[in-house]
Amino acid sequence: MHKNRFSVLALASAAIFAVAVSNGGTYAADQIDIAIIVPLSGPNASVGEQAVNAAKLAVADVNDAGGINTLGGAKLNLIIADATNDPQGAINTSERVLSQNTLAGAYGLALSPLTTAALPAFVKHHVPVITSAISDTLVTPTNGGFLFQIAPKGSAFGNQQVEFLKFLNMKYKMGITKAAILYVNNPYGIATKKGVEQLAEKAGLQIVLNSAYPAEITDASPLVSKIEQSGAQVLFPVSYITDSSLILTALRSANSHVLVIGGGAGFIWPPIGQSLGDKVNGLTSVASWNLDSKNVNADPKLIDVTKRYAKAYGTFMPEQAGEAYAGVSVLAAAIQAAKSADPAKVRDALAAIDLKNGGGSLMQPGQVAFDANGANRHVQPVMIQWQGGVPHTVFPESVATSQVVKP
Amino acid sequence: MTVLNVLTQAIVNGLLIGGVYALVAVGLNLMFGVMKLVNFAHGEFLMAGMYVALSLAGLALPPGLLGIYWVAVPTMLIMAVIGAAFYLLLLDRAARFGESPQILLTIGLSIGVQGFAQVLRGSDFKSVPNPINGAALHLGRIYFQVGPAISFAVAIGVTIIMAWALRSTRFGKSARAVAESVETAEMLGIDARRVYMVSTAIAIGLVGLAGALLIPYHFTFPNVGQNFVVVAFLAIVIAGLGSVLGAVFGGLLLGVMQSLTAAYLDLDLSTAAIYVLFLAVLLLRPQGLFTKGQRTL
Repeated sequence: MHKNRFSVLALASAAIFAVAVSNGGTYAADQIDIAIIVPLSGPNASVGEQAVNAAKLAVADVNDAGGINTLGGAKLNLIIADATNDPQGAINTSERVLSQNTLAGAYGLALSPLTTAALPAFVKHHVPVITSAISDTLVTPTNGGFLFQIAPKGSAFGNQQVEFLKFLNMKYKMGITKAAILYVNNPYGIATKKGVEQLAEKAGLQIVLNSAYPAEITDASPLVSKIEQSGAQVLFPVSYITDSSLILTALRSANSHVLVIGGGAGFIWPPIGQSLGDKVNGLTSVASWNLDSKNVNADPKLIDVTKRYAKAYGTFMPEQAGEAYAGVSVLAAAIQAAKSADPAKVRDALAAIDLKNGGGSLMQPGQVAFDANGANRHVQPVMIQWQGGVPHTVFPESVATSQVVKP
Repeated sequence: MTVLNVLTQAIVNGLLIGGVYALVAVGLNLMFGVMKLVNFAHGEFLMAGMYVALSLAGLALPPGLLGIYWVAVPTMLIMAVIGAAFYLLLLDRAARFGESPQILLTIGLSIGVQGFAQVLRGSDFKSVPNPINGAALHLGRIYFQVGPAISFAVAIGVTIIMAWALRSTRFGKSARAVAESVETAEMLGIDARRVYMVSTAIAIGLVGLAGALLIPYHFTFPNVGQNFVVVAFLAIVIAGLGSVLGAVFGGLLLGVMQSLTAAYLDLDLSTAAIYVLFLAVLLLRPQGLFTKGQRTL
């Protein structure tokens, strides 16, 4: 009796194992799992929340359009996981999600320190990940070949900020020659400020203040005093949302006339507009993406995406959301091109992709292809200016849709 | 800017942000002084106070520069009630098992409240547009940000009221007696549990007040409390654990230290500098700068 029970149990186990192995090996399914792993707790939870909102929208759009056609209309299933706010948390979450699921690919991590830390897990499991993290050091020959950076590199942001200043100087004869660079002391801040630093010097600007400041400051008055003492005419800040707000508020309190050309992040998120009200208008910043660039305005489907996001979540579609929508759409296009949910084949498809339409074309200038290191070949940051409480694309002219108002 | 202007502005900036630290630190040290309890959830009560104040401001926002401050007193009262409930429902029960469960409870509560706030209000950065944000008073080339200046003035006012209350009121005398010796105080007929409850209510009410004073010029988000409470913890250790008035001076001292370091050494060292001071005090005067070796209220 016991022997019989054991035999039945053994046969059942073998059958379950065979089915499991069979499914895992062929990646044939009417549902394809992809993951989004972003910070959903801690100080950067807002970044993750925006990305998840947009990723859900992208997955719904792919599925509503018939799913992955080359796989018999298989639907995408989005697995959402919290990368937390610290690198070890990002490693643990990534390892767990990758071990417990058969993923075709993933989007996420959002922040450079988290991406750097968790990348080896993706390489180990041979699962491609599309990231919005911008650090230049992510897209190098040593990254293992499974990382694809949808956003521009950090150094490109600094480049665009300086080019914009040159444009303003020429257009409005502002005569700005002295610059201050203030950056939050973390990989994002350091990567972005390097670009500004190099280009500012090349552009003949005298850098009169170049200083890091600690993350999570509670008061920006000391920063503003430093700027005033330095005699800077333009400030290139690289800051998160709370710092950005504190800096702008302290500058106004000090009656400072320094021109602020923001380094993205906090200067373009909806809360800064809500906090400053009308006073936000005129503020300029670099951005990895903006909702009214020429490539977006030229495609009614993309305009519709931004409108649906605004309707669903009550704010205009911000930078992180645009990147996530584009990233998940690019991942879906790669699965489609690979005709397989095998992550190794999806990786190869991502490496070969050259998209000129669909959700991926949300990124400027509307074309996505990756170089050998996973950097997005065509993408370029844009300069935005808050006008009427919304960021408008004002530079470069190739993608601008609004005229810059003299800041 | 002249050398004198730079120094004066740095001291002004430091005192103003120090006032915010002080207001957060006062309640923290009151709870420690009376109950010997380090409340690791204090930052989350600050955050809760900010959300309560934001909700009240959403109901009505009178015009005028100071209109938003109508939320301050109601927020303080609501948070005081929450503080009393916090004592009766959680701390009092945990106290039956000793001091360690109380401390672990506050750590757990800190994590839980942050998560709850995120689920309830989202992780986004909330604010309410108002004229205080960016407003300043100018005296020659020196400026005072109005929002932090109001926080500073209230911190000083609270210090004076607390000093008077602890010396002159029945509750203050009871609190000091309980702080010295619970057993002796109870032998004298003082209801220690009532003193604990009122102390917790005052501490949480004051941190709620600090939150209400912050919302005109600072974002509210689930872990906003951590940015302030870490400095408040340092302030109470530097001032001396249990010294309510010392906590105010500790907060102001750290604010000025941060500001002077930023002005004369390096912006990036402004946070590190207060930890250096913290270590120096622990090494040279572990009882704190404003105590005489014993807990004092």
